[in-house]
Amino acid sequence: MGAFRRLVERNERRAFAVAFALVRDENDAREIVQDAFLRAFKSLDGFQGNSAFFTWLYRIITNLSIDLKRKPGRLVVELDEARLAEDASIEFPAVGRPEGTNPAEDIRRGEIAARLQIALDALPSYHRAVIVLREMDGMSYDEMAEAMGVSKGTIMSRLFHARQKLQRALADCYDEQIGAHPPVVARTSAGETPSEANERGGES
Amino acid sequence: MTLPRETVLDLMGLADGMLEGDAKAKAEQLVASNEEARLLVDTLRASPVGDWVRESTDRQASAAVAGVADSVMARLAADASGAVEGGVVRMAPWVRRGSRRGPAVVAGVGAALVLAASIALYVRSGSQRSDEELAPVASVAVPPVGVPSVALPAPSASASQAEAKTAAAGGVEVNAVEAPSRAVSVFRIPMGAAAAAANAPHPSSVVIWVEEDTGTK
Repeated sequence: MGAFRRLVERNERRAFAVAFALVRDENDAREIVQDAFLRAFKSLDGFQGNSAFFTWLYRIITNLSIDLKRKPGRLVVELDEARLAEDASIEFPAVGRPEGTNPAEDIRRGEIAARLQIALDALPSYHRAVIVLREMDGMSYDEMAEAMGVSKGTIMSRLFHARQKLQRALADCYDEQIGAHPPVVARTSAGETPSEANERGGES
Repeated sequence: MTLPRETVLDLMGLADGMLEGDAKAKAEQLVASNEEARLLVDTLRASPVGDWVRESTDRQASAAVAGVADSVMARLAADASGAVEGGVVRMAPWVRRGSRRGPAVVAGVGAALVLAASIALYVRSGSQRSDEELAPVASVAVPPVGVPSVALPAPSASASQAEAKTAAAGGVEVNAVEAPSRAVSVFRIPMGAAAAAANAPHPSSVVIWVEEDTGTK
């Protein structure tokens, strides 16, 4: 039990991040994380160890998130920017340096955090998941492909699109931060964008 | 931007440090020779978006997961004890099976008790009527209204003695009869001289009082 507790403590934050990326509700995400660890514990005998524990846990979280969304009477919405622009006043965890160093900076970081949440809300769940797995966990493309059950190419395409969308949504913040507008790869030489339909391959 | 899709994705892989071997060498060569490729890789590497996502998500997660480990371990401990799962108290299987039959079992036991009490009452009251020498467990003679005398025979006194005293006092004899789970009282009410003068068919009346519930008669 002590060993399993350490396993929980080591993975709970990123498990929550992924669950929240999928369901966008803090209470639901917390409940999913708890259920996922309970399921993992009960199935530890079946864990072959061929993949990383978190990859296995991610699959459990994904299945629980899908189950939650399929519950009768549950409102399932993919939020969009227009809807959430009204919620810009909501306070989100600030980004950047620790708070208290500079009031103006604190305000700016708070604004960026709010904008970031709006931009993340506007993404499809499979884009949010891939960006969280990559940016928070630093998972490799191969690990993400295994966890999400899709090809490495699909992961790369999803990640690229997620980044592009976030950069567009946060373009003004981006300008302030690095002093330049982010380049947007909108079209290839063949005149077409990387297919999002292709990205969704294997997405449940 | 005019780079092919596959090349763009490879350059992103290079910026993320995900390329190895020939693929990495090829991408690096392209960056060195192509301004557009170099700009893309530099921009991806310098992008603060990844840092924003990481910091925002990490802070939110850190606050949200407080107590999650404790909760998980508590639920595991509860599961191990076999009582609680998912915050819902669950009874053991044999209890659940029993609970479906609960009303029938309770009704059956109740009916059996009532039947046993009735049989015991019938046997005792019948034997007392036919065998007056049986001593009552307790006997209290209550005088009729307006009669000041009170007769209180000893608990071990025989029915005939009690009846004799009752008759002498003209009161009501009350016998408490033992019965399983029920309180039963037997009242023997002498008709008195007036009834005897009227040639009543029975010299006295017997009332059997069975308590059905506490406080209910």
